[in-house]
Amino acid sequence: MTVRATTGLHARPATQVVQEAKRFQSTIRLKHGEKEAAAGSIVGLMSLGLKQGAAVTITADGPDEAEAAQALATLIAGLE
Amino acid sequence: MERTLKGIPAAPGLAIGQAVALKRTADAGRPAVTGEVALDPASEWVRFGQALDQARESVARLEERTRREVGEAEAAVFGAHLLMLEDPELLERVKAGIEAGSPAERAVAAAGEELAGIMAGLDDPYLQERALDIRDISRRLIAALRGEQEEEVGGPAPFILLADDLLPSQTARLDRHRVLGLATAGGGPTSHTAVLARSMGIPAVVGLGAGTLDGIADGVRLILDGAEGLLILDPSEETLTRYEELLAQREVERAALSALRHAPAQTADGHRIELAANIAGLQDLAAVLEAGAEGVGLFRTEFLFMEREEPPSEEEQYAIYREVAERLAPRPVIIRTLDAGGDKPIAYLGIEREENPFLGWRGIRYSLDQVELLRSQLRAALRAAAHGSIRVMFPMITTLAEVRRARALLIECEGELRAEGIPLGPVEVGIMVEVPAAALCADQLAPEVDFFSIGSNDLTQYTLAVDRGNRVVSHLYDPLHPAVLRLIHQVVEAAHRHGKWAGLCGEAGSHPDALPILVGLGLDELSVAPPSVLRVKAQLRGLTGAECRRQASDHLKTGT
Repeated sequence: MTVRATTGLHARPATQVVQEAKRFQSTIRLKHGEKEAAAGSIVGLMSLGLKQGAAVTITADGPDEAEAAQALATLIAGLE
Repeated sequence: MERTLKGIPAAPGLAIGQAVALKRTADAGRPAVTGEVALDPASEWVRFGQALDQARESVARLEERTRREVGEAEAAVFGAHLLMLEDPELLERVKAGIEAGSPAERAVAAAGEELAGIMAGLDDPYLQERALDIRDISRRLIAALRGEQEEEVGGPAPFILLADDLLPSQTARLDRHRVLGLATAGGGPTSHTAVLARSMGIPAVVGLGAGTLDGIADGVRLILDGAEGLLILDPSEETLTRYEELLAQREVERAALSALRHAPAQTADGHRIELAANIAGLQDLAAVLEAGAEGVGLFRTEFLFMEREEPPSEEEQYAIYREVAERLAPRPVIIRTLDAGGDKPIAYLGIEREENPFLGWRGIRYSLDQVELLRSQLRAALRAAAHGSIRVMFPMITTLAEVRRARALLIECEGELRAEGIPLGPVEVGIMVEVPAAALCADQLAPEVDFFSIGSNDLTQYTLAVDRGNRVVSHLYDPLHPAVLRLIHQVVEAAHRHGKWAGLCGEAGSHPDALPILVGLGLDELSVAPPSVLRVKAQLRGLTGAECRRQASDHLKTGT
């Protein structure tokens, strides 16, 4: 999927991702190129250096994995 | 021996006082762990947990205090610190360090440095700056682990603070009654330190150069000239006397000028102009009111976008614009929409490094491409207009099409607010004339606007093709060059022919040599920095309209 937020994934959008990720039990990770970060880490997410238009892959592993991946994808797609 | 260091002017004002050096931040992040024996990992982890709680509390307090004393935007950085304190990337690294046998202090220092290093290595300047935030929280955790009290920066008497660089938390914690001035080796004019120092009214010089402040002992006498960017060490009696006199003289002038607060801004023979002030945020309002300015001629809204993580929301802007409008009412407030780019980079806006930033994606060019941001500004301004007199002004206009698009957007926002049932007021619409093309075509633009405001800094720079920040050519920078004056003259005439008014909001307005000429060219309004308002008024009241017109016509012909 693609990041649409104009500023990329800076502090505020990263915060929203962290908070959403915390609702799930699954381990959720975001992958961009060679880099990967836990969706629960603001530092990790920012260090992906995601800009507007960047492609990211979301992986979730755990009891609520399908739901978690879907929720994160929806959130990231909706960030402005 | 007297020695003078030259840096970048960051906040104006004079200060004479003793040096106090801030413990270097690099040292602060490097704990003295030699000789410390690590307890077993389990108890280290418990100690770390306690330190974490303590750090969270103190960051929360700092956030609260900064919000109260400085502002919402400045406080946001500490909200991010709170999140970083509970970041799994940090916690995992600290845990791994402790389990490998490190004392908690060393584990935190190593984890912090590793993460800061990762951020510093990214290519986005905004993210690079976040390395400083990570260092700030790791320093705080280490202090808590060592049982150190939250340090109040400072010494016993009022002092001039010296530092390599200041962390946001350190700047925010400065006691403005004891810090006479601020000098840093690092940092630029838009660094966090500079912006905060300006809003706190502390004279400051930044960018003095790496290592220049090392070896200045506490207690050494210093003179700091924030406007000139000078730091004088160990001044001679002669220098000291000169600056003491200057300081005293400024006091006397201030007293004499304040008597003019309520006097009209007009020449001795009654030629009246509107004398307004430039502001960058709420922090400047007190100075505007104190100077008796007749309004705000330029609200540089880009400062609301700086030193933060993301653009301010419509609500946040509305609250600020409304407060400015209410406190100045019935006097008018000109809100200039975001003028980012050029020499005012804002990392998160995503303006890439440009070959020629002054000729690049800036001002209205950026805003018309990022319409949502512009809409938030226009909606906030329209809503604030329900509470006072608001004018909106667009920067960097080059073409008629830009004016029309911006105006259309404003009308759209008006319609939306009406449909939503949100109260709004009428706004006058103007443009900055700073691109020579706009000055040359002023007669085409005049029917489309309510007023012009000439940005003399950029107009001069673009007309003469001189970067005033470039020391090699800056002597060619001359706002009184006949070419610039002819453009200004043309703009004023075009405005008047169409029944509109023309003002000027650049630094030329507060230059004593320029004032008679600008008045003589027929400008209706001048907007200057709040501390210059009374001085300009005093000079104006000593001039006559005839003398101003004579000087203007001489300069149009011959130049300086």
